[in-house]
Amino acid sequence: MERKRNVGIAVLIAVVFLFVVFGWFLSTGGLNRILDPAVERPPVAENGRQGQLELGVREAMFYVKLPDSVVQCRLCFRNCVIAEGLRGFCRVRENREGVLYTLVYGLPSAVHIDPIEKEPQYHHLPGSNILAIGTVGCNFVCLHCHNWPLSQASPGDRSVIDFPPEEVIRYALLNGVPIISFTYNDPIVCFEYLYDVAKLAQQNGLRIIWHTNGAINHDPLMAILPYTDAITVDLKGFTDKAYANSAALLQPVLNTLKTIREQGVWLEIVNLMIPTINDNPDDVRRMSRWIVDNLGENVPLHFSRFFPNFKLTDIAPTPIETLEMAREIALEEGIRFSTLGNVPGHEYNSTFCPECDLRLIHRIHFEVMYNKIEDGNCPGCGEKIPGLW
Amino acid sequence: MTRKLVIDKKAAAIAVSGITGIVAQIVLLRELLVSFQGNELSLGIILANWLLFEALGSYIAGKFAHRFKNIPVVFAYTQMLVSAGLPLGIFVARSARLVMGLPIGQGLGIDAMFVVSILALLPVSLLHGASFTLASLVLGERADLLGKAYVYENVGTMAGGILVTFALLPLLNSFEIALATMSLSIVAAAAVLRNVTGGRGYCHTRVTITPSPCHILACLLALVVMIGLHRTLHETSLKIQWEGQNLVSHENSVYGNIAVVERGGEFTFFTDGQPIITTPFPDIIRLEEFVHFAMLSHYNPQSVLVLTGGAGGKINEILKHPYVKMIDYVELDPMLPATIKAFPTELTSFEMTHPKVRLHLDDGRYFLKKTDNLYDVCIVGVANPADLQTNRFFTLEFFKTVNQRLNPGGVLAISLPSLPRAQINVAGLAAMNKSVYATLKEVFRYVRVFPGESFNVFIASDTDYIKRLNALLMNDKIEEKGLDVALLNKPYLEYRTLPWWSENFYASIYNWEDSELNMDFEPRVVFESMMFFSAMFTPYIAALLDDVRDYGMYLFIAVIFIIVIITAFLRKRGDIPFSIFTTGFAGMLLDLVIIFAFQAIFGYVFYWIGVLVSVFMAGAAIAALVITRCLPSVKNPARMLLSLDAAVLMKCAILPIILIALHVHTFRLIPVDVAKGVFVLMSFVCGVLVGAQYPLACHIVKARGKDSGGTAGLLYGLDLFGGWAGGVIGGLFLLPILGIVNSSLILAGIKLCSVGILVLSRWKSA
Repeated sequence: MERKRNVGIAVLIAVVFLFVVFGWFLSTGGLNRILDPAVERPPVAENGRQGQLELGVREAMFYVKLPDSVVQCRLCFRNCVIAEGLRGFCRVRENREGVLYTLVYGLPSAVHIDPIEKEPQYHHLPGSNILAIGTVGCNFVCLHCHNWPLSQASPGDRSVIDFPPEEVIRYALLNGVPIISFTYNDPIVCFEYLYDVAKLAQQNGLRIIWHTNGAINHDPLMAILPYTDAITVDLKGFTDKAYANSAALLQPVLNTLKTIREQGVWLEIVNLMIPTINDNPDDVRRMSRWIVDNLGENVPLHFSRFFPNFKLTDIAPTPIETLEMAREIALEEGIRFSTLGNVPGHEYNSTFCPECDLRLIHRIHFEVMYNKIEDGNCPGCGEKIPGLW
Repeated sequence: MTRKLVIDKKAAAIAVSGITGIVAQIVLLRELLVSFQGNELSLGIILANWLLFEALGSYIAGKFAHRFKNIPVVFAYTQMLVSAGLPLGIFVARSARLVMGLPIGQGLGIDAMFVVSILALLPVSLLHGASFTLASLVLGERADLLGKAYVYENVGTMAGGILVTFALLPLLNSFEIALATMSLSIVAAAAVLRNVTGGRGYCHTRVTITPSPCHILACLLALVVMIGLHRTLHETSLKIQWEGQNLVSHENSVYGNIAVVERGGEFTFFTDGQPIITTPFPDIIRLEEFVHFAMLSHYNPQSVLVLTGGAGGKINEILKHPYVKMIDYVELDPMLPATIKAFPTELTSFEMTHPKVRLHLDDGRYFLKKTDNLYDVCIVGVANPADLQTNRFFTLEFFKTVNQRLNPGGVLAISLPSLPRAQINVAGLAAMNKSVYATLKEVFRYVRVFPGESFNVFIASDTDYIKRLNALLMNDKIEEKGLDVALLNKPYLEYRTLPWWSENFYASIYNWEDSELNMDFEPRVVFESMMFFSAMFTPYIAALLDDVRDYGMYLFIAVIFIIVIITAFLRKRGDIPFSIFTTGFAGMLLDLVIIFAFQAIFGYVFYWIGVLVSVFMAGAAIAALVITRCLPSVKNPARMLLSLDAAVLMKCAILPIILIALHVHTFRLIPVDVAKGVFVLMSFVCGVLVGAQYPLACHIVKARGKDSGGTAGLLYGLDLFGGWAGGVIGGLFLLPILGIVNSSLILAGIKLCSVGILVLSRWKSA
């Protein structure tokens, strides 16, 4: 009897409750959520359709074939040995049946018109616009990468634009943009795309610049430099400890810098100063001295302020005093043009004449307020100001 | 007389075990949150690992307890080991980066958080779990004594929680707290050991050559204090944690940790490991864009409200507008303005002492509900809804409250994370922006977004003035007002308002009209924030979270179904354990729901959070005590357990109705005090239902022939394991994805299964 009563009570509770639950589910849409959780939810990332991704596949340049369908990429310092079916460190070069392919040819994920000062290239047509292009992939893994959604992504992770070299040229001409720039991620990894665009650009009277970490091998560098007008190299620091933050090495970058200068291509260097990582005054002094001794005193050196970003989140921003100190050291060591970046309103965001200290280009962040340089010379003292004007 | 004293000393020792456990948990939680940059995910991982290892420790001790000849001695040693493990755990927590071999400045991803929290928590939590099982046996083998041990433990936990939160943390550093805990544990252990020897001391020969372990430890502790080893450990561990940075201040408030680093004459303030203010040279780009886009969106702003994050540049930028007459600056943690004042710079001194600025130390949302002021501009300083607390500033209810406190033409300005070129198609980020955008559109007639490189500024208003704002108009206003801005010149404004910014942004939030709104009781955006965090550090986990959101409910229901089937098959062996497990699950989740709902209505009032938690523990302790005392007279413990289980079920079903009613009608039909009283009552009832079941369950299981150690170990372990599941699955997934109402329904469904199994078990045995 008692058992029956207990069962009865339990059944009654269950029935009442189920009734209420069902009603709530219907009223709150909970049932919909269970049955169709993917309704109207955006994808984690837009993926290019597989067919579209195949448009970006081209046989790569600068690699060697090894036995057993293995290849070795010879584009950057990593010289990845890649087995069949696998990709290199940069994730955008793949071995298919013993042939190395680039996967991002003509398929950038970012195309914008930016000010040239964003590179930064301060001694190159100040105030001009550039057609900035970037793909996915990179041969570095910088903990503070501002462009990590591109540089640390793989083909298929981001939406792409079908933008073959001819289309790049056409677009630049149509929009009156005189300079094409490969930037955002490192253009070393989309070398073939850069190379073809550069050649076409030169034929059409457009300029080519690129922003790189500089860790490219000698042969590909020599191949692209004849078609390059200017380069901005990110010098992460002057120690291997600084480069450890990017899982990279310093020496390959130094080799690249020397080669660029030897070939007479306009070069500007930017150093993102990160507290505790690369802001040691002695390292800054050694770096400045090396630049003067090996590249010349006229290579502009820009120091940028760091703010926590991506994975490097536990460090305070760079003090202004540190940036000013670095610039002072650079000038002491003989570098004639040194500016500060990411400090809007700071006077050293501008370019000054190294002889008479006249403010030649007044810059606020990457907006040029005025440019007084006349035919490449200082209007005050007539000093020649190196650059592409 | 002696026998009564013996029991009281043991009771006190068990209570001390409760104190030790909660002190260790809170201290280690705080330390790990600083290393993990304190978001909802990290909180969930820490709590989950703590409860899991406690459960494991309890179960293992239960399995092997019968092998110990002298349980009280083992309990005493375990007690001391738990407190000795605390300083080690603190050191590991602060050395997280070093432990994981990460370079200076790198944040920890989810995988690293797991490893570090395991290393920091395992020794303490495992042993503490074991110590409860042993504590149960210290009192004796009777079933009612298992219940008493539960009571004493709960009393200790409640007392310890209040003590450490309100007294110890604000006054002492973590190592000093550990020292105090060790002292207490030694005293308690000594009392137990003295009992063992019948009150004659540890060594009862005439010539006492060998001192007791307690004496040795006490001497060591005294030595540590004398030579200042605890201070050395504190300073050394901080040096490791903040390697390369000049740490000039490190303080704990009831709300969290505030640290200050100095370099090159600049001070950077970190809250729970996240840099929030750099002074006197802040991030000008972020400040000028956020503040001036907001201020310029109003025709002539005179009264401004800043909810958190005002000092360090925002107020300075607001004060540049010449017609501003009044700025109400609301900051939750009093320690933050105090710390800013302790390290003054020209910028912050100007802001904090300006006559137009009125500082209010309060929760921002609660302040909005209480104030009668109306504002022209409301600026929210929270930049990322990374947890349930900060998400409250991005919900439908909050936006409605703000709208009610705006003058005609008033604007609300908030910001969310973005990525370069506003291409935000990264896991969680687009969905986060989409949901908040849709929620803003639900309340305000016009919403203007200024997409940016690292953050998007959302300006919302009921007038279309914000839509007409363009670079030329903004520049004219800047010049007309003579604003001293460094960045916002005409070319820059033209660049920032180029069409492709908006094109990229709106392409990323396509179909925003169909997006789910972010609400207090349905905090969708928290989960998206978790996914975005994962995408940066551990992309494979972001993909996993995406799958969990899509299919996790199926998996969860399938797992519950399988467990129910297995338990039903096990019948008598599975019914009680399943009931305790599901009650532990329900208790944790209901506790989270109540606290979460309280915060949504009244704000993050730490004192009241402490009250709710304490009342819950008190309810559990009182219920356990009453049940333990009444057990001999209970004719049908199984039916009583069934009734309690059914009561939990009804609680799960009714709670959402009560919470929704409170959420809607408090401050209107329901007086504030009455509403708070209802919360206290609900917490108490939850505690009662959870606490009452444990001694009953122990009694029933023991009556079925299981030994005391095994019973205590199994059931306490399952209670904790259920709490773990409630914290992880409920706190990280159910609440953010389903919201309060549906989570409560899921919970009710699970308890229904438990009731059903108990009925089935009774039916078959009848």
